[in-house]
Amino acid sequence: MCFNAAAKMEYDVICKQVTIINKLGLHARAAAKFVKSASAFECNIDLMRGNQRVNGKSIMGVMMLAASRGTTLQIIADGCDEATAVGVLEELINNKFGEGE
Amino acid sequence: MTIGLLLITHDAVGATLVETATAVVGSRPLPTEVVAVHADSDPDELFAEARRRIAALNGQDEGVLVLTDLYGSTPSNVACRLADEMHVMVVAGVNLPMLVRVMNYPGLSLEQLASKAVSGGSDGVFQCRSEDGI
Repeated sequence: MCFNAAAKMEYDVICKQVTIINKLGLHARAAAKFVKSASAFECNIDLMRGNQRVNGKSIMGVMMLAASRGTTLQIIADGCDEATAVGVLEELINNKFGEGE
Repeated sequence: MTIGLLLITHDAVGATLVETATAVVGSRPLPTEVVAVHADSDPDELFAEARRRIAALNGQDEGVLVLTDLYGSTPSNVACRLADEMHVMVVAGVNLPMLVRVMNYPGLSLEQLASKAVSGGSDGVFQCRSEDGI
């Protein structure tokens, strides 16, 4: 749980570059898994592809990136649990969304 | 609080959308019912059937979001008659993006969920371009 937000503590934004490596890319079920993981955190999480920035907690938002294999994205997290969130999401992507290929 | 979801659509459209959206989201976070409307269905019987489904979904008066497909068609006309009921909101033009977005926000109020349905449905419709994906 985050308590620091109430104390108005400032957090540096974490911006982490990741590459989609699974065969189907950030397809519907993968996007749903990403969003489910992201939604478990309190921090704001955005995903960027080039200049396109979407809410990382919105399935439809994440799918709008149409990120196929090889696409480079930025995870931008801002909030008290941002470091954990970025770690978990990066692992999910590198773990090919647990789909096994 | 959990809102109920009722799809009133042509034939198997509703059941198929629910099945696919559930597979995408990985669960079915909202209690969901489907009324399939066929060419020979009687509108008054459909209305009665839909009201029964709503009553079943609306056990705790938290509300039911009714999604229908083609505005102006019989499924939609039946659905729109339900908009007069208490704790019911109706959105036409249901598609997979709409349903996926609705299922992603199960904790919202009926009004908020209806708004998400409209934005999800319309955000999912645009001309795709080659290469950059958008």
